[in-house]
Amino acid sequence: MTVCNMSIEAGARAGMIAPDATTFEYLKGRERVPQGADWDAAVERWRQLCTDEGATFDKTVVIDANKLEPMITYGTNPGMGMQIGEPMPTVESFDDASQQAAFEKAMAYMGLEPGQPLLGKKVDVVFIGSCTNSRIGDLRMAAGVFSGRKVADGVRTLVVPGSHDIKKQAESEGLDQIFKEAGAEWREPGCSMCIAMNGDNLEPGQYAVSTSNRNFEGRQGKGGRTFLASPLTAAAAAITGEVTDPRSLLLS
Amino acid sequence: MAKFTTLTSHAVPLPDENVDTDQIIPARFLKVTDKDGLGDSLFCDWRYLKDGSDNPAFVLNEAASQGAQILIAGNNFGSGSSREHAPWALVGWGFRAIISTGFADIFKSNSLKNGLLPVEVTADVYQALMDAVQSDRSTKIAIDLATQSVTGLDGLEATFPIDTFSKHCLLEGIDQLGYLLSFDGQISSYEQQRT
Repeated sequence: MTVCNMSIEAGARAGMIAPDATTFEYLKGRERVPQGADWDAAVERWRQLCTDEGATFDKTVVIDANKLEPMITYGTNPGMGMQIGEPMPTVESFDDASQQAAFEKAMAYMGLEPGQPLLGKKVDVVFIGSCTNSRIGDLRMAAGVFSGRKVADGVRTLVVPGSHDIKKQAESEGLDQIFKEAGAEWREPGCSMCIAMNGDNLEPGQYAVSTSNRNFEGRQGKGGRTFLASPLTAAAAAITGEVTDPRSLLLS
Repeated sequence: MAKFTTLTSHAVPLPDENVDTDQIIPARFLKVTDKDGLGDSLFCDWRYLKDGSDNPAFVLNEAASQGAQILIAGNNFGSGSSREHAPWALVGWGFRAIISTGFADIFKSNSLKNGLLPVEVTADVYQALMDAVQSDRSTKIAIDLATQSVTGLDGLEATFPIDTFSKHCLLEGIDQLGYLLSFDGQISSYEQQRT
């Protein structure tokens, strides 16, 4: 679902993935989902929602997730991303004059030095939420990092479940207690800091690691600076107070 | 919605690429329920200084930009959030057309439904128009929707694509609902058969 959501950032109208057994298992028995014989008919119909044999595409991109490091953005659009252990690019990394100009503008807005690593960069706020990355699985992963640990001093950490159902599910599993004991805020579902709503916004110049979908200038509050990352990476930043490869906390 | 037939105007140059809808109209202005009144907040965070006064470095505040009905902007204009408020704000300021090499799809669709014409041109045409506008801000650009053509005063002429339904609606000054309502007579007679 994160891939579907983020397809829009790549210019798509929608991102679609053929439903599989995991999808059907998730849906079965839920509210507003067909039941009984209707369910069987629905699954049969949904199984047709796959790529036609011989379909052609304008472009095919193959990504081996096993070979990916955790990703993070450094700039002011979601395409300005990198593997978390890499140094940021420099202006010479871009061929095109307009990309170079966009990169320099982004670096100035973000207050960052080209070519430097992001690991170790101090952050002020961590936001785990949004429709992109606040499903129950995301919260379980984040809770795994928070469990038995404390949020770093001075880091405001908001955990905002993706829906009321997810909030209830998380509370039934005790995840809310883990977040609260670690020193994070456990909030009502909503857009919150994804879009600087309801008073949840960055102050000018603040840095945030955020699991939301957009890092545009001012998106999380005027002058605020956003690093987009996964729930695991965001949770790791909350614990250490800086941009951190979450694998270092998962292994310890 | 005002009809769009032909437009001749000077233009505001904004060569930045990937201008996203959070820049066009920040999210804090989305609570309105009326399309009107967003023009003052267009490009708010670029346009105003901290104290609320005009940022003299931003192109929209230049004297030469006043009264312009055409925006000429870098590639992938309108990316990001799908908010319809983006074309509302642009129309609210006075723009009727935007020239670029490419538009984000949802923004384009929203624009067409709000009387704002996205004019997609090749990189060469874009650069020629941008250069002309930047070197002389009084340069007039003419757009003719019926012939799908854009003309610069230096004789440069190009065509742009638009789907026939959107073109019809813009020329007539109607949105999709207005289009349906143009069949009111047939709808009423059908409904009478059903009663």
